[in-house]
Amino acid sequence: MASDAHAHHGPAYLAHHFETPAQQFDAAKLGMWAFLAQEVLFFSGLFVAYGIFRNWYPEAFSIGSHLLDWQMGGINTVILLASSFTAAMAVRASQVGDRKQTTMLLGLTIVFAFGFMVVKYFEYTHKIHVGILPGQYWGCPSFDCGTAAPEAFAEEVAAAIDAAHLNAGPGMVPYHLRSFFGIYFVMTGLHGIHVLIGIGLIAWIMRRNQKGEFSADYNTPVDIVALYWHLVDLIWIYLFPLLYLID
Amino acid sequence: MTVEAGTAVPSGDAHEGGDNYLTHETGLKSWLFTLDHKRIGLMYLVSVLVMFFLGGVMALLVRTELLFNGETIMEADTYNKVFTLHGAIMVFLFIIPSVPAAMGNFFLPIMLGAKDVAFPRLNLASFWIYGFGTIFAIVAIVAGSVDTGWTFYTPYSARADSSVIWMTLAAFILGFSSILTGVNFIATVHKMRAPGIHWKRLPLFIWGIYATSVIQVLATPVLAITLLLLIMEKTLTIGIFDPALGGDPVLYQHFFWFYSHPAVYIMILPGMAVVNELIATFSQRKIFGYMFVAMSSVALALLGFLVWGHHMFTSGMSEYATMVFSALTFLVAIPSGVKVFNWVATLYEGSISFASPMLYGLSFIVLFTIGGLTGLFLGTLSTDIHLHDTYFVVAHFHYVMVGGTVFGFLGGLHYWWPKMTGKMYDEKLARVSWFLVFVGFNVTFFSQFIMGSQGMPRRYYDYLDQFQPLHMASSGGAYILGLGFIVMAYLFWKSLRSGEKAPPNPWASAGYEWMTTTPPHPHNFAETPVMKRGPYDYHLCTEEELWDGFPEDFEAKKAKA
Amino acid sequence: MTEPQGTVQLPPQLSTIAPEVDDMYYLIYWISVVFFVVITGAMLYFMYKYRRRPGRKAKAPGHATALEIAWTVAPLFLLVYLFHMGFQTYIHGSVAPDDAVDVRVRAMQWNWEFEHPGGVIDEMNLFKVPVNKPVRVIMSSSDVLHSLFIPAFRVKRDAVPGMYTSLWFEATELTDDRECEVDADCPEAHQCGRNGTCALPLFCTEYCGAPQNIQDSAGRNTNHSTMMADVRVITQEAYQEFLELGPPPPPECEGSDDMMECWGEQLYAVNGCVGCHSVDGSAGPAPTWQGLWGAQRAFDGGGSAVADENYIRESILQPQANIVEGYTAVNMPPYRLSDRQIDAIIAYMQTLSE
Ligand code: HEA
Ligand code: HEA
Ligand code: HEC
Ligand code: CUA
Ligand SMILES: [Cu+2]
Repeated sequence: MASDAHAHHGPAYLAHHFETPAQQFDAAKLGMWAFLAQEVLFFSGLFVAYGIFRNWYPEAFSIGSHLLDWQMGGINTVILLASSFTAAMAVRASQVGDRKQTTMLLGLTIVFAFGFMVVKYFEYTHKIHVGILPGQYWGCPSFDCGTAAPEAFAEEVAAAIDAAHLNAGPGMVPYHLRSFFGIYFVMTGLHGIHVLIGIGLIAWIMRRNQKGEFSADYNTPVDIVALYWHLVDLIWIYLFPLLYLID
Repeated sequence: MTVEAGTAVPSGDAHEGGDNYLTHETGLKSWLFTLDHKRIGLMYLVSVLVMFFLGGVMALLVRTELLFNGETIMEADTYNKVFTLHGAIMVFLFIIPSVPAAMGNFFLPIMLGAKDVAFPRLNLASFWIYGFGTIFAIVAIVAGSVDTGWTFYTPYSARADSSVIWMTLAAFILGFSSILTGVNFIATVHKMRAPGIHWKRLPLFIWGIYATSVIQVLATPVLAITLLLLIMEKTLTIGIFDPALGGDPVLYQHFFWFYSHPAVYIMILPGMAVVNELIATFSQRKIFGYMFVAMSSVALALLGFLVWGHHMFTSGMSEYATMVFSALTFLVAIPSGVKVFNWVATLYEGSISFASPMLYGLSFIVLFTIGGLTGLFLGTLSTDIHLHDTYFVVAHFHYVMVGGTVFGFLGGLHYWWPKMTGKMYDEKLARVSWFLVFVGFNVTFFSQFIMGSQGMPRRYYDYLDQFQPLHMASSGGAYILGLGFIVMAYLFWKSLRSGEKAPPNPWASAGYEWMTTTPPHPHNFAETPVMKRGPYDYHLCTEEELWDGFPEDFEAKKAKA
Repeated sequence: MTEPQGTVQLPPQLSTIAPEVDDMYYLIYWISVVFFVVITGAMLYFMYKYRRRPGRKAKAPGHATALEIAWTVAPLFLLVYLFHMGFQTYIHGSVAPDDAVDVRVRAMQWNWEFEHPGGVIDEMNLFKVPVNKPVRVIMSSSDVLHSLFIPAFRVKRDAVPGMYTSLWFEATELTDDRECEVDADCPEAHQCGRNGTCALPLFCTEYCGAPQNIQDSAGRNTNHSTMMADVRVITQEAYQEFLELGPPPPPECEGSDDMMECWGEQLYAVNGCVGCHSVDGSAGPAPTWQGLWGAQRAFDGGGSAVADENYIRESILQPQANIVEGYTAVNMPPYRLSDRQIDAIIAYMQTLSE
């Protein structure tokens, strides 16, 4: 009998159930693509909801987009694009076996990702503070519906209505702004969670790289984590214009 | 070194204390943290059986309450919780993981001649996520329970008790278990096939599971996001589904069915996949029209995405949309028909044995045909208006889910039991329990077709007197069904305790999974096999390969001759 | 006139659309029967003919592409035909004729309210329908999803909060309103409805839950499965009269000396007031009616009034206008009763304060 079922003919990174490194790599890559397909459908539900509501309540959406700070969104777009670039470079570096540079580029990617989250943090805290919140919390600063909304709230909304060129007085705030911000917070919130998970994954890959697990022959994890990161980036590329730049 | 299957058969020594996956390691930990797909499959099997039992108990409570008009054993709000839990447990905890996660995990790699699935750790993670989701479901049950129906329709669900959040979270988590299993199987089927297993030699069981995986990966995330939005609606009131906040309850239904219609193919395709194996083995014949059957699985998987609106013909959707959905619904009948016709054609000129697994296989054909054809009454606009949300629908989906999937699952359980456990079971008892299940099932649910078309609405705690006789018949059938399952539980328990040792290939099958030892080697095959023939090529098999006893008996027989 | 009969599968056809729907049903039914018989027949025959027995060897199948294509394409034609037929019936059933009577239906957790032309609102859960005249039902819901289903008419449609949905039908037979005690006393497809007379059942078929212990007139807990109404098909003349006068007193009160009191007591039961208000002074979610008439009422947030005609009327039509002190936990839904009905309730209340 084959008593050496555990002994390997291949290199140490080859898991026992694979025959060749190429098979292992192909399987991992295919698995990741399948997972990404899953992610796309996960977000697609939200995009569909977005499309439907925007179709029904165009005014609410156009005013809503003016309540978002397109400059902050723009900065974040640039940051994420840059991080995608460094991630791709990291893959390249690890493919040629340059361990030091891989670490450096992965580190840079993490720094960008944090930058993104910091900007998001400021956007969110401002909205919560003013009371630009979804559903029943619309106009409730810091989720507290007991106190009246601060003047800032009325001002911002009025300014947004102005900017949207809808000739309605402040009394005519579209009801469905609530839904717009429901969609906004769910979409960007889920995206933000994906960014956080990405940070964790990249940090983990960076550590494994430092420990010398990857080489020109074996760098599958770097490759597939970068794939994931590109998807996170891609989703933002859609979110940004759809939420911030309509109208 | 490799073994050429098709010329060699399992080495005889393995069944006599040789290493197998059950004895390879011992201790609870060696199970809970195993990376072996067979052990994970077995753990899934035990879990889904427990869930089936729980869901079945709920079903019997439902039937007992409906035995008489008025309060029989519980109050109306309890009844609502019980049928909701029955539906939710059966769907999310039993039927979706049943064949794919339990039997798929066990047999997919073996049938591919692979040592394991592509991502064993992910596989274990799926199982743990399933367990985690189950905990949430239990919390939901304990914390006041859920009474929304398994569909969680808004706005009722948005306003109901907060344990709905636990139940939806459970379904959300279970969804991810299902997605990850799908991802794993897709990669495995594509990349882990042993030499000689090209796409045209892929066992039809694998074609079915593969198509299922595609749906799992593409449809389940939509359910996940829907449930997440529902949870957000309940906690943050984001105003997407609740009309009081500007949301749209019909949108929820679109989202829900966009997943849940494909999900019915997640349920039926694996059942059909098992039936392929049963029909081929027990008529000793290659499945007629192999490629058509394989492609019909893929066609069902794809078409299944286009018809969700047929659950919403009365919901207030536009006339135009209803028309499109009805037309597309009819299209799914075609690939289903292709399967049925080819199975019957496979019997033609076969050598048909009526062993217990085959009894389930043949019943599947009959019952699925009834279930599927009644689907056409529901897919037709004018008749669905009358039949929607009546017991006709309840009968339809039990015919496809129980008569179809559960019968397929039970057929697979009887068929692969010897391979999985290394023990044979009492064939006579198995036939008795099949008979009880078959008769009980038909009595339970056929009466519901008549009630439904006469206008008995579903999810009803009480009913008009005129439905009394049929409700009693239905409940009586359910008790017979329950008795059948008790006999079955007894026979499997007896088999585990004192069953005869099983030979490697007790059904004389040409399927790849029977080429290995019983119970299988920890790495499935001691050495990677090279397949020289397809899994149904009975005409190419040697007498030795189709030997249904122990290999050494075959040696003895040859020596004598 | 012969009474329309149902079949084993379908209830009697009591609307103009019903025969069309049933023809469609039977068309699919017979197609299914043919397929089922052919498939199972072939299967049983092969099972017998090719059963395993000594010496029997299976033959390897050959190719039969023509056969495969045949049984893929042939059903397709059949299905296109089926779709075409089903669609025609559906379209016919979904466009209401111009001369239809519009009835607004409000569904609310566990009751149906029907508002006829001219704002005439009938007793809860009673749907009067003129015979041989198209009726368009325009539905809305004040809480969750419900669905209106009348099996004998073959119609069904969801009532969705935040949106209007509609359906139409034309009833072809008067309902047989003979007296009954149980459903079995009534003709086929009828139920034993309110006041012990037979009527056609109207079901709620979209699940809408169950409350904790709110009871209906029969003392049962109301819930999704008791959210039923009586459909009573009446002559066009009777319908006209009903539109002019509002709902009449029930037969058991009509003509008696204390007709109004009797009617009021009956309204108390069938409209569900009994679910919240007691008449014997016992406490509950709402003030008891015992001793209410003529008493001084104090309101939540200040103010008070004497319980006179106007006050009672307002309390029923707009309960939120003044909330009685200590009763803010439960909201009373507004009831749209006719003047005559409110008079009857007041007459009944007066008997409780003597
Ligand atoms: C295993 C699960 C399963 C499967 C396989 C199916 C299969 C089908 N289902 Fe079913 N269905 C459910 C599970 C399933 N369903 C559930 C759970 C519900 C209710 C959910 C809820 O509300 O709680 C439901 C509800 C449901 C509805 C909504 C009813 C309503 O609420 O009003 C409809 C409407 O179109 C429908 C149609 C169909 C059709 C057309 C098929 C087809 O795929 C069937 C195809 C098969 C055949 C047709 C038979 C074989 C074919 C031939 C022999 C060929 C020749 C035939 C002809 C040419 C006629 N189903
Ligand atoms: C896979 C799915 C599945 C399965 C298998 C079943 C199985 C059964 N179901 Fe159900 N059912 C649903 C899915 C399923 N159901 C769904 C989705 C709904 C809709 C819910 C909703 O409206 O929201 C529903 C609703 C539903 C209703 C309608 C309730 C209503 O509308 O008011 C009824 C009523 O008769 C019913 C009955 C039954 C019965 C008698 C069985 C029987 O087949 C059960 C038989 C099983 C047993 C009796 C178990 C006994 C086991 C043993 C005794 C021991 C064996 C143990 C081991 C082997 C370990 N089910
Ligand atoms: C869901 C519970 C509920 C139902 C059903 C209900 N009510 Fe009420 N009703 C209340 C509550 C609570 C109050 C006290 C608060 C208020 O004044 O609105 C009240 C107050 C009243 C009052 C004023 C009583 C007072 O003490 O001053 C009248 C009159 C009345 N209801 C009549 C009716 C009638 C007639 C019906 C049936 C047609 C009915 N109610 C059904 C809950 C209900
Ligand atoms: Cu209203 Cu069910
Ligand atoms: Cu469906």
